[in-house]
Amino acid sequence: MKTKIIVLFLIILNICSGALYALEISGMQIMIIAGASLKKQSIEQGSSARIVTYEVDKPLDEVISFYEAFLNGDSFSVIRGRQNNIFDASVKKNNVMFSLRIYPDVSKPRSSDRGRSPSGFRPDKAKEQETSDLGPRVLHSNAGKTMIQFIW
Amino acid sequence: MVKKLLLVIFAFFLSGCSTLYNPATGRNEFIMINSQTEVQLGRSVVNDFIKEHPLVRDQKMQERALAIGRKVAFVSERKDIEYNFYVIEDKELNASTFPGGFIFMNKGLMDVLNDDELAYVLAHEVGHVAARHIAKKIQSNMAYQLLLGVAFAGTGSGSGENAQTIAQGVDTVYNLISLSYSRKDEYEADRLGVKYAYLAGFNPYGAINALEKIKQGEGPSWKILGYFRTHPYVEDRQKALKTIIPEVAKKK
Repeated sequence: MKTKIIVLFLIILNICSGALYALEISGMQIMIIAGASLKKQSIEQGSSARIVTYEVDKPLDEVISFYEAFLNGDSFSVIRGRQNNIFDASVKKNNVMFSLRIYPDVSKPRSSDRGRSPSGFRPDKAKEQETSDLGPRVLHSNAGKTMIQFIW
Repeated sequence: MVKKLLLVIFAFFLSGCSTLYNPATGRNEFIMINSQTEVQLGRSVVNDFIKEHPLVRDQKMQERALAIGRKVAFVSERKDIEYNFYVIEDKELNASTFPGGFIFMNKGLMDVLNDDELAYVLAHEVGHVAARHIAKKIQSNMAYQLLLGVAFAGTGSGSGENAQTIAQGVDTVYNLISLSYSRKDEYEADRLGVKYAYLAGFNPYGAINALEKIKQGEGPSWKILGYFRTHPYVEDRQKALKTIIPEVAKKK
């Protein structure tokens, strides 16, 4: 009951703070955080996996917390999740499965971020950043923009 | 002009992709599954594999593989998973690596290799794991839904009605593991293997001896048997190893 209230609260909060919309994955509606705009849709070469990426002008932590509450509240099974300031999870509910990644936007590195490649990180060249098994893990993100990526 | 256009197109495709800087390969890569999912995927397949390929009961042999394996895994760049090393009852000279760091050595290989040679073979397999060759091979050749289904089955979250699909998925993963690696992946795993073996204190020239012993052990049909079925391009690799080893030793 408590989790349903939290999810309902999140949806209402999302409606109040901007347009609410959802992404349909295998017939299931997955909530997209308010203010997010579609960045890219593609199909991974060779695997037929669909990849949809959104960008939102909100702090990474806020976006991660939003989706953590959404997934927990709606009883999704999750492999992994938040780790070292990024979120990377394989998610399952009934027969619907997808991966969700939330990470800082690194497509336009700041001039101070030496050694950082256009879409990745070079931990050996930049002291303030680290990597994880999935990708970027930073101590500060680029201009507060956050990327939300769904793969299924 | 064409170069600029290509750069723009390249930049467009990069934008929005979360790539990973893989310290083992030194490249930014797009890996769809996270480490924990990879481990669960491996666990699902390994459970079936062990049922069909029993582990050797010789505790000393298991401990030898584990001790050397742990040493070479310790110096690898990938430390977000736990590496597991097992020896199975199989006379064929071969080794198999499953997603998530599950590495199996055949007893046949354990019997013929000394510690330096074994360190190279284990380190080579660790190299495939660190470079995420297996994850890449699977994500490129398997429906993503099926891949996730198998991974969730490893957590016990798989639903009963999907048992047949999951079994098919496990078979698919198993078949993909049985396929040979690409030439590029083999060279990369060799480079990493020699590096890890050397950094762990083993003689890196054990690599050349190991490949030679396996070739001789397999007899005239070595190209289609055992180790070289899944790890081909051996003659080119032997040549390359002679160049790689002094380079690796110099870098220390």
